[in-house]
Amino acid sequence: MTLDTSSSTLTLPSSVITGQTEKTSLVDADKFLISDSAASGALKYVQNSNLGGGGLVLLSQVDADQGAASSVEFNQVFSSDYKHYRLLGCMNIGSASAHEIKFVWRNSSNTDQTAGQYFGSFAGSRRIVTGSADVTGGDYGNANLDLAQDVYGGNYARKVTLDMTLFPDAYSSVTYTACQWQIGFYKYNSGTEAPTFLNGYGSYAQTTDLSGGGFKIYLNANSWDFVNLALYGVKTT
Amino acid sequence: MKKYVATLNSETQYVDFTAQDQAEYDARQVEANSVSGRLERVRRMRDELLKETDFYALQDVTMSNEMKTYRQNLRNLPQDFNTSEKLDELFAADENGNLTHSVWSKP
Repeated sequence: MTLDTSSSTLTLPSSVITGQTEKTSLVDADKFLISDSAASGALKYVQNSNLGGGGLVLLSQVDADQGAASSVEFNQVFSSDYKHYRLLGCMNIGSASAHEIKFVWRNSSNTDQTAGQYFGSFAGSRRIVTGSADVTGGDYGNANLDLAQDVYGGNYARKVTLDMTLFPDAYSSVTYTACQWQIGFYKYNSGTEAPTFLNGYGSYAQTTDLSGGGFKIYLNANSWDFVNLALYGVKTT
Repeated sequence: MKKYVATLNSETQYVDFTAQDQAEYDARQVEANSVSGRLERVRRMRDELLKETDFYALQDVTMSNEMKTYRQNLRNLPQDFNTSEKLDELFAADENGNLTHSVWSKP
């Protein structure tokens, strides 16, 4: 560090920055040093929460191939920092049979929300050698949500792809939640596998406090082989 | 059985099921392999196979007797294969996973 008193210039070594401990996950209260153009260049700070622009913030991820796992839990991931959440990724199921991929919300105590109030619908198309056909399904007053049915596993070629948006919108301490998703997979179809794509919507018509909560994705039977899912928080400002 | 657990900004944990997790998993396995669970899958498969051949019922298309029999057999699946032994027969598959029971063969 040098100080040139004749020019009133303080020169700092670059290690002032590079010598510090790196932080890899910014939070709203983190601060940046700025020169305020509206105040003759006075040094001030800006909080990360005021940087603006919105966008996706990586909150959590499961990137694992450690062995058979029947469920994937994202626990205590919701907060008031984000308006919505986006789950992106892919998975593989270990067994060459038909499976249902299911979803439940979880509260801040990691308790599954399983009141018979899941209402959902999905529709899409599958392809077999003779042509395409509609695929439909859903839930009406069930204890969980089916994201897809008759999902075939047992081969790395039969990858399940998922793009899901979660809306655990909070109003006071009471939450009505919804989600929508796109999912691709190989469908078990009389033994003949059929590439399939679905769009779906699901609502949980139950008032419950999901602040500080999360969700779980699981199979009705057997287990996941590998899982690569990333959860992002959506900031609108 | 194990599960993957993720929390905010943390490494994935690969942990044992809790006793409650295991109980729920076991119950789901039982349901998936039960007669009612497998019949639900049969109904879904049947509905899709019927939809595939619905166009044969249009007025300007002639439906063969073989197709009529095939579709009727599909409609009868839940009542004709309503025991564990019969469902085993229905879901018998070759080494490639293709179902071998004649009821699945479209004429």
